[in-house]
Amino acid sequence: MFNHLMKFIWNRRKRNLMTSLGIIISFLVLFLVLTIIVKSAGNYFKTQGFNTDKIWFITFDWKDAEQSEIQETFLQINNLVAGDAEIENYSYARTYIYSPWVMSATNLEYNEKELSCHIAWGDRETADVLKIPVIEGRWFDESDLPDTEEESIVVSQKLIDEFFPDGEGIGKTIMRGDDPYRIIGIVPEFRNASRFSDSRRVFFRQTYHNAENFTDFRESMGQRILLKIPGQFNAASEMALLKKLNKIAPGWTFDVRELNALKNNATMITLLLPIILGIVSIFMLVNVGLGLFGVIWYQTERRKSEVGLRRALGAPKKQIYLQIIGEAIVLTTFSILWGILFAVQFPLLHVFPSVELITYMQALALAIVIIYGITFFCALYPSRQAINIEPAEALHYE
Amino acid sequence: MICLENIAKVYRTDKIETTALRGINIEIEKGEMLSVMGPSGCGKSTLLNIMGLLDKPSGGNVLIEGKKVDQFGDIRLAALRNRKIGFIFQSFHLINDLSVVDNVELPLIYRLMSGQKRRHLALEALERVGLSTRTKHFPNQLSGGQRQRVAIARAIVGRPEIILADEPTGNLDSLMGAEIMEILLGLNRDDKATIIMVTHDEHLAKQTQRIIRLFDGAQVS
Repeated sequence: MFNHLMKFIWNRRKRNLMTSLGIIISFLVLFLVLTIIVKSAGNYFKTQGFNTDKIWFITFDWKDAEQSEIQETFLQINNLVAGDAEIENYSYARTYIYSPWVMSATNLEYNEKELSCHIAWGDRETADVLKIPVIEGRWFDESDLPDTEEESIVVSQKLIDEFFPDGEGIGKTIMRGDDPYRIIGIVPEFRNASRFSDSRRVFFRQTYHNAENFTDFRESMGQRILLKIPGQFNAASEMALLKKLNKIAPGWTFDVRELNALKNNATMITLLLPIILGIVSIFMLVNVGLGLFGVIWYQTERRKSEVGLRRALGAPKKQIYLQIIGEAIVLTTFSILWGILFAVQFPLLHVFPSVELITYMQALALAIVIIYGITFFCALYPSRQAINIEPAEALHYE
Repeated sequence: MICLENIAKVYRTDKIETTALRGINIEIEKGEMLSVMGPSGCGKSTLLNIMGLLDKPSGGNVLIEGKKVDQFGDIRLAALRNRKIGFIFQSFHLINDLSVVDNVELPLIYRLMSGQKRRHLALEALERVGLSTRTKHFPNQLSGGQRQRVAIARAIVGRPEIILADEPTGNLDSLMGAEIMEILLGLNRDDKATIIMVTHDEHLAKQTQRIIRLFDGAQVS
């Protein structure tokens, strides 16, 4: 029976060409969308490299204030934050967290290998405030001074893996143009855009913010202060803090928010592409499903006399049912095989370097299951119609 | 071999009731070859469909080898059609997407049989109807007479005891019609196949052992 089906579909290949093309294109689009979805889902369950629970942040805009005024004001803000009993620790981390549209990247070079890497900024307290684990070496401390010949940096594991495949990265010097950077520590991950974003090659530079060294802070310091507040910090506390800040600098604008509040926005932005592609592919699949349904139904109607003949020759209803579904499945199998041929080019040609082989495999498996599911579903009704065809009547149908 | 007892067939719609057959009693012996004749619309094809278990009578009994078939389920009826009955149709009913040999194999795919054996039997059947050189052709590459020979090969490939032929020469010229008739006569003579043939052609009917004549759904002789 299987051979018969294969032969039958093969002999009808020209007539099935457009249907096959539709299935192949849908399969490929679905495969790509699922690749993005599987990758994003995989990222969600990976460590993000930091923890934003109980973290608040102050954003401030000093507008047109003079350098000396800014320095003076910052000193007061620093004292206010440092003296607040509710605030366990604080950090001038210029790096934006959960702001996927903010990207800062540069090329680093080691041993004639050049890679684009993301820059993150942190001070000595950032690792403690954001609970960034250091898996090798150390985070910034007082020994990492500004204006030294080799600036100390802390890098992500991905950067180490790609620059130093043998794994030994601590103490190595990598170049950014003519500027040397010395690796002092390694963090497992730092995916600050969102939980769904990819692993990045990241290197942390130090923000020097101590009260004696506020010079040129526009460059070295961020416009945010992260606050670690383990206790209850409600709207009233927020208002009280804002009031104090406004008292220090009445002309400045301040905003106090919980860092986790940015999470949903970041998630939406990161997922925008998969969501749009997902909607497009759902429309496409519905179209293909309807098309397939129409083609199978139309062909079943046109093949009434053939159904009658098969019944006359000894095919029970069940066999007719399986024949119609089987034909759809075999046609889909041919199309999927072509689709796979195109799909495997993506990992083979490294079209998306950040996507791992396992992600492609999972997306491929899911796409196959979904396309088969749609085919089966679309063939169900026409095949039910086919078994209700009366053979005596169908044999007179031309 | 086949026994029809008081067969009636009535087609009902919401408003109209049409009697296609009434009071048909026929007994056909094994190895017999007979013709069913009558004007268009007299119920010849309906009678053949009932004999071929493609249609159920509204009244009366159909017995095949002494067994009443009215209580048989779909699977048993299908198996009976597959093993006992071969069909030949006026319009051939070949599947254009299958080659000649694949068309002939068709009844055998509903049996548990190896592909090799199916192919062997199909080629044998094609040889019997003189089409062994056209096995890879497709139906639309054949003449009407050749197509009907393929249909005969398909009808006999499973070695059925009964062959039901519904105007087998209706779409053919007289020469080809005679050729087809010769094949049918040969099957009856050599294989002792029971052949029931619907025809309008008095000349062909006279070559069979018995003629059943229908008029307005009733058996008149």
